[in-house]
Amino acid sequence: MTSEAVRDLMLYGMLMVSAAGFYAMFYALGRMLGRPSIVTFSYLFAALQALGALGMILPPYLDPFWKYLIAFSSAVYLFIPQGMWWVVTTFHEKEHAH
Amino acid sequence: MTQALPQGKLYESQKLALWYFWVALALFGAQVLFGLLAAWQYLDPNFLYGKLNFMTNRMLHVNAMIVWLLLGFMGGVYWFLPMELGREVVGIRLARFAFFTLIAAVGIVVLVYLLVQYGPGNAFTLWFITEGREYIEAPRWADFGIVAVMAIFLYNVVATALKAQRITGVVAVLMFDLVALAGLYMAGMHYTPNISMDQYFWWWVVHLWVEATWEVLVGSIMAMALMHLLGTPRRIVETWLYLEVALVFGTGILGLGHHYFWIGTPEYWLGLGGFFSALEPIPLVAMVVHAVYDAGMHRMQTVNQPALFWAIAQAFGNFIGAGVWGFMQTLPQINLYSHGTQLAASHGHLAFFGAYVTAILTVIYMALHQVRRPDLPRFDSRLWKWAFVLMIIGIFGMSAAMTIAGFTQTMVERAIGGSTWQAYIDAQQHPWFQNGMVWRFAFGVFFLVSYLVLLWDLVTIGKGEAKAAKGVGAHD
Repeated sequence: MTSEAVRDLMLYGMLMVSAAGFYAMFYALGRMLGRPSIVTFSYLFAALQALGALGMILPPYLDPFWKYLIAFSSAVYLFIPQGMWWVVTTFHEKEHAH
Repeated sequence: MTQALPQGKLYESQKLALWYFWVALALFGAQVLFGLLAAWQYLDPNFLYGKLNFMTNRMLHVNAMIVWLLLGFMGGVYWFLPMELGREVVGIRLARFAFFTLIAAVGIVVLVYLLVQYGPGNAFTLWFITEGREYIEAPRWADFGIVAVMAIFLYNVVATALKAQRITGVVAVLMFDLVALAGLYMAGMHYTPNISMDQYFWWWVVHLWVEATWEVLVGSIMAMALMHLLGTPRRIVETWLYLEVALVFGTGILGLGHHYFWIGTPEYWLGLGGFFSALEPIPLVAMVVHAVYDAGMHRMQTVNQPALFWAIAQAFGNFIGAGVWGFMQTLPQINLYSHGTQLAASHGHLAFFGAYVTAILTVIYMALHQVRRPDLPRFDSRLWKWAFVLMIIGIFGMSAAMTIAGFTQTMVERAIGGSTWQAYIDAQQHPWFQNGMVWRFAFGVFFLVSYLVLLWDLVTIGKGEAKAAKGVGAHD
């Protein structure tokens, strides 16, 4: 592996996970405040997250096992905000209904 | 529902918890101080050379952190347990004995570290000076002491639950976790001359404590804290805790493999470790969603503002420090070049601060509220905001400086230079590395200032109002 490959993998990895976090944060914030514009803004970070994953997957640096793993992680990150939002609000609604 | 005593009254266990908190805070200061000395030695290697060498400073810096966090966790449990179970902790005298024994042992170990520092590679050194194994350098006699204290701690929790005839979900998780906590520490006492095997078990303590049992311990403490701080219903808190335990253990236990990449273990650890490590940030991203929800529901307002802000910082800090900085270097292809550089140090600093320091500060502010002014509708001050902001800037500044320095080492020394001696020298002399070390020290000083502001706030918060209230009471 070349030094450029190490650099690219490291930076794309950082982009992928940090963007996943910002996506989750802005998505939840938008839903919390009832502001669709913030939810839309969060999708920018979802795209950045996917871009980070593609930056690791497309070049020939990694073997297929690692590429599948990163693709799987990236796909999970795309649905975490919606999934967790559903879990959190359902929990709270059920609890308040009791 | 949890049960607190009437206003102004504390359980004996809670009085003991306060002792834990204050000693923890003192050791937090020691951690910062020795860290600063070590950071300065990067800039001036002759500083204190022969008197207090870098290896001793670093050992004290890291060990102070481990001990103060552990004391903070124990304080947190002793604080919340009686309220959780509605009765005084069973074996409180034993708990007090354990506390003073632990503090005496820590004092002796620190004195030996400072005055003796190291010894020949024989059994005497291992038993009475230092084991010499990174992060768990405590001599063997102290190891047994730590396990004994953990056993007493476990007894306190189990006996109290049995006596109260009440085992809540949080307490059940706590009990199982404490068994793992004490048991895993013993794996670090196993010695073998085969360095690969030795490291294999050593990581059971270092990784599994930090990325599994401590995470769950903090999860249990934060679960109890959120019920009091935000009035979150027990069912929600406990369901979340179970989910967190499943996710943290599910990814964290075999995530251990990311430490086994390059220590002479079989090749399958590359796949296993890489797979589970890549999934480790997922529960942390999920926690961010819940933190935003909780903060939004309460509109960033609660009876205890500093505790609320530190609790929210915990979710974000855990994600950024452990999740982002961890993932950046967790794939074996990257880790081959980055392990042991300042990148690992930057991850360690951010993750420990984000996941654990913030949680302990949350609990300490909650305890101080109950001790000083439980009647106040809002426990607040101006100073904690300064401490909060300065501390976060300080830790991010230090971590950013270390990230740049570590990136330079990864590139110049490892990936380009091929880890030769000359490449090591080249990386150490590279401006990015050298400037990184300067900025690390500068932000370290900044962090020390923020620590002092925090300490002053913890000493004074609520006291002014208490005096004023007493004055009003006297006039009435």
